Amino acid sequence: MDITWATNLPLKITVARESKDPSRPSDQKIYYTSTKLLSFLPVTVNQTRQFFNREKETPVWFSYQGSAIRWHLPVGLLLDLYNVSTDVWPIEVNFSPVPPEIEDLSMSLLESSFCMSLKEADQIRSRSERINLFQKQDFKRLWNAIQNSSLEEWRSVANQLLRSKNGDFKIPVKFHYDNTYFQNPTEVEDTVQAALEKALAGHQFSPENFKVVLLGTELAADMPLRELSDFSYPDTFLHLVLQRA
Amino acid sequence: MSTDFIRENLKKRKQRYDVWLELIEELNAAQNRADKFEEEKTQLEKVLAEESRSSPRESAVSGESDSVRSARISHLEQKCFNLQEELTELLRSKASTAEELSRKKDLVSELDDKLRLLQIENDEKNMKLQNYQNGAENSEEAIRELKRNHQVLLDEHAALQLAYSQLEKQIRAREQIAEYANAEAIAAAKLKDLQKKIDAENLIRDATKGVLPDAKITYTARSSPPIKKINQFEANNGEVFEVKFSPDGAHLATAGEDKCVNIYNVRNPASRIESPVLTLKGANAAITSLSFSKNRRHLLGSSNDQAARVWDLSSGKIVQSLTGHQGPVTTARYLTQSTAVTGSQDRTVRLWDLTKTSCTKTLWPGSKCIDVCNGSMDGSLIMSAHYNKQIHVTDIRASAKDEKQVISLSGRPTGIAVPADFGQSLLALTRNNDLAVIDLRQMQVRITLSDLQNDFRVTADYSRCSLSPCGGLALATGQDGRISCWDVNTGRLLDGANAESAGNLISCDWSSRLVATGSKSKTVVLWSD
Repeated sequence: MDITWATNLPLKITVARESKDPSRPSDQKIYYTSTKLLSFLPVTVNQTRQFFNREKETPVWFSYQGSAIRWHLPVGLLLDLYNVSTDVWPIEVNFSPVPPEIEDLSMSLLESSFCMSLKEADQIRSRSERINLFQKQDFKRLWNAIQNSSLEEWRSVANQLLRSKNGDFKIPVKFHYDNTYFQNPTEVEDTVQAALEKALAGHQFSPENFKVVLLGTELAADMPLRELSDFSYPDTFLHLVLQRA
Repeated sequence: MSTDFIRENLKKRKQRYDVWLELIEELNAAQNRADKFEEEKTQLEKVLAEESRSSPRESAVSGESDSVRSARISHLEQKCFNLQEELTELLRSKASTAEELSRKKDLVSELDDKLRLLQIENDEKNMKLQNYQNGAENSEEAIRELKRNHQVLLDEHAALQLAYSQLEKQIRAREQIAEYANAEAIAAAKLKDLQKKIDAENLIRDATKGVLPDAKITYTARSSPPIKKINQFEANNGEVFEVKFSPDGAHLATAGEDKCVNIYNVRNPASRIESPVLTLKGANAAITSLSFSKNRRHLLGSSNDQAARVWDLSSGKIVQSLTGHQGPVTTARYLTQSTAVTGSQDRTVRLWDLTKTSCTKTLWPGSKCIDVCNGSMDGSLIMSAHYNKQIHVTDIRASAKDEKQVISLSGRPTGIAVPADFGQSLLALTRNNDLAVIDLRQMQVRITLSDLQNDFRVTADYSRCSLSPCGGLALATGQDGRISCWDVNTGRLLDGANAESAGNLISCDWSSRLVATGSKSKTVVLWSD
């Protein structure tokens, strides 16, 4: 877990062709910056605006290879989802109204989205038994921990959710594919394969067509989910990505 | 695959990212500095332009301050020059950073290559691991199979063991039954023996009451010899090599070709004799001679199987086996209660200590031994008849030099006899169909007894002769059941008889008033006066 928290991802941001202003020579420039693997892209919005000399109210959204990036997901998950193979992630910034498929996320919206995800995970894990005891400041501390990338601070709060006195909790897991995700309750002892089969039950996809990827590594089908819980994201979900085999 | 693998991948990724981040940081720093200088430059240019615009107006207004202005201008120019220089320097530094950037990029690509190699290596290792795991699984399968087989075998083994133990139990039970049967048979035999003994005792009691006269009659020249045939029976299956009365005259032992010794009760000699009271077995070949021990408890027999044996007469079992001869043993005689002598066709005569069952002395007469006799009371004198027509008289107490005396005969001896009281004469039956009477004091033949008118002919190379218990009469057996009797002292032929039905006679023994003869064809004839 330490390693995911400590990793920073280099970003190469250029202005998208449609948003380029010929009167501004700075639009030709390249903005090299970095973001935390477990953080979210909207964190970089203000700096990007500043770099390219845009007004504070200018709408901003990012795109990768021509499609809008679903920036409410953690950066690490996005890398898997878009199957980014380069070390530096080259993305483009758009200074135009946000397209309808993604939301215009302010930081406060992002925070509430994160909290929702956290609650959802605990619903699966302990039927919200633990999260109901949380107070507003606990959510705040978790959010701050992500922004400061302080694992200790995050742990001090999240352990109240993850520690179990009697037996193991179920692992909340989401399988992301393209613009959607699959999710179904799993058992404690399930393997990746078993969880995938349960998640895909009732959909037209068959598990054989997919490989499961976690943080750039393809997972073996017989791997127990429990061993992977160390690689959960800060919202305590285990986000796995399906790629066409 | 485990979470370590994921962690390892992440670590590698982070290292690559960090290289880039470092570069980006440097680039941004350089960019910032360049921007700052750019800004400063434009500002300075602006200032310069203003100055140049205002200076002609000022020069027009105040000419006296020209020198001051020129100094200021030069100062500004100087400053401008300095700035220009600084700018070029900065540009140079920017170029060097760019260079560094490209170098770092090279480094990164190099690292990438290495990483790829490592990944390939890793993949290979994983493949190998997979192979090993498969191999291990296969062997596990094999082991499981073997274990199953082993279990099956174990089960079978246990079943067999069970069956085996049961069979063993049955066998033991059967053995026990056999043992019981054996014991029963032995007990029955003993009972029978006992019955026989009792019968015999009764018979004796009856006999002593007057049927038989006193047994201690001594025969003289005048008395009539016992040549009346009173009984005849089949004793051994084959040739009867030896007949011998027990010392008390109550029993007759016969030995023959059938490897057996039969002992008959002859207390009532005229009565019908059918079966022996005891049969001694154990010899592996024909039994050639017999000798009763002085205490009547044992019987010594020689055999063609190169051994002599001592039987216990009460149990009928062999108690000693005297082995060591290299050829058939022709004769075995008791010397004393605990010593014996045997003669063999291996050209030796051996002396035995029966207490230790060991050979104490071996005599080397140099010729096949045909018959041996005990020549004295203490068993120190041994007479032996040999194939080379010689009689050897050996004193075993004497020194080796003069222990042996040799008497030469005209014919080959077939049997010798000494009187029961060890007198001074020795009788030897020869193939010349006569009896040589040897005077032991002179060591020469005193008289030769023959029976020409009755055509007395010796039957075989091992025909026996006999002397009456007191030594006065000599008896010899011949062909066609012929038995002839001479007076030893005068050499006169006394009488003779023929028992044609008995066949050729080969052996004889003389008890007090009975004579027994054995034939080549199973038969034993009892004679009396």
